[in-house]
Amino acid sequence: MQPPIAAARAAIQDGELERALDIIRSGLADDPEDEQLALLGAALLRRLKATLRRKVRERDYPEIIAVAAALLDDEEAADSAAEALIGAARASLPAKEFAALLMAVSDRRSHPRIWKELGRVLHELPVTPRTIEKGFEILTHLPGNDAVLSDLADLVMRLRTRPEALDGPEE
Amino acid sequence: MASVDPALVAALVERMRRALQAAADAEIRFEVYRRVRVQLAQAGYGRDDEYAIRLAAEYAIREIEHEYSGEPNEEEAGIARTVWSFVDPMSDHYVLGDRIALDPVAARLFESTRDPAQEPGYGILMRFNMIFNLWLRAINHEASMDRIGYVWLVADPFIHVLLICFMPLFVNPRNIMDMPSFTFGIVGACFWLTFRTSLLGAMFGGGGLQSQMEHPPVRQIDVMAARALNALIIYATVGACMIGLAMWLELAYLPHDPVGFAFFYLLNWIFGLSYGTVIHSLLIRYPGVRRINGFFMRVLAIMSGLFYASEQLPQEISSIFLYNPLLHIVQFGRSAWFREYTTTDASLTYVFFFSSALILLALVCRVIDDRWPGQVRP
Repeated sequence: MQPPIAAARAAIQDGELERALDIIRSGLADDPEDEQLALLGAALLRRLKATLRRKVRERDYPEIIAVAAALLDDEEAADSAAEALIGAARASLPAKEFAALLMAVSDRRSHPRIWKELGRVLHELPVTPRTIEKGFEILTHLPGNDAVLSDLADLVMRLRTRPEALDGPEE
Repeated sequence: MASVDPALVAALVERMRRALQAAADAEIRFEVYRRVRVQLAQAGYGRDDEYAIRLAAEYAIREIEHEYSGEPNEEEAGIARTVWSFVDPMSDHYVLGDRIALDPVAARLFESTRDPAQEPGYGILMRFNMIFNLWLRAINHEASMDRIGYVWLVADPFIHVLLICFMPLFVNPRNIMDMPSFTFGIVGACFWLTFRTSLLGAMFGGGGLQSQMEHPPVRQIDVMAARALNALIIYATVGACMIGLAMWLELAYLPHDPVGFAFFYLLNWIFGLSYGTVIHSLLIRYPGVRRINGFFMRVLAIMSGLFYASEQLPQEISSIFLYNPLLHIVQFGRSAWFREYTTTDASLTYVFFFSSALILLALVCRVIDDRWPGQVRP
């Protein structure tokens, strides 16, 4: 099996910075003493932050979304990355795609701002069991949230009126 | 709470209340909620009512959260939402769109709490204030380049004006068309250098002030205007000092139409700023314009009446030179200063239309440049 540092470098060379960051994080979780990997992780984070700043200035929305998603786990940059991601997605995507993107991001990363925003656009997502599960997941992060709860109840009711959706492919 | 059993919700609320102490913090509450969810999942729910049971748990959690957060219950929240819908500009029920007729007492009360940003002209005032502060920063930036920065800030333009002044003095040491040569030179030099320096400030998009554009409210045009303002203030100051000196030496007198002179001097500055803005726009797309502009500026300097009045020139040459609107502005400036001279060649109509067209073109360039890829800012 490829050592994490080699796998991370290969991912960076392929331009898959988010995957590289994930490899580094899991590598450091296995071996926190790996100095080389820690240095590579720090350098990659610096590059991602600089890239995010540049892309925000250039209003390159697809790139902002990609880079910001990678930074959502970074303690220092997570809040601004979440804001950038939501801002870029809202500016560049229609409502339904915006909601779908937040759902996809929330599958990989967890950030309060993403959960809040996803809660707001839950009704834009297709009526499927997966959406309902996501609604329940949002409520574990935002317990008792009125809007999410009301949208979730509505989704459940709509799903019940379309029982085929329970077994059919997701929209 | 459609399709959710209220009895189940009430039972779950009771159960959670028992598990929680009066002052349970969020961490403890979240843990209790997690346990309730897990226990319900472990108890297993038939497929038909799984969502109903899970929703009941969430409604119960909401009850508990409302108790802890002090938020109003659904009915009260509903009332609050209704009230908000009247003042929310995005709402269909927004009532503040039209001005409400207030009685005098209420009007006075509202007046005292009015947001200054709502005051007419506040935006323009703020922008002027921003440009002025950017100018102060530009001065500090330039002056901090070396030890004698502040001295050089004035000395450099002073030398420039003086050098240009000597040209008409060489041509005619006493008078040019009855105008005192020294004052004639100062007026011409200040007009030209103000135009040229404001043009360069705007053309290079702000120079040392570029970094200030990191602040979201600061726009490129503010930075360009601040750099151009630098030219206006410095050359106006230097010109005033030199005129003062000349008056002390009894070589000059004050303008006979100061308002007219100030108007044409300002117009000359706006002309430089607008022209610089247009060139800046071209530079973004075609960097080679810089060289052409450098050459064009030299031609313009000769054609702008620094050392002469167009009335002195042969008809064939003046008819060509008078295509240059700057020459018209300089001649009007001199007419406003000197009692002895009233320009017969310069045309106010030509200046008006040319200036309007240039200002309009500069504004269009700014609007287009703000959308140009690479120039777009957050």
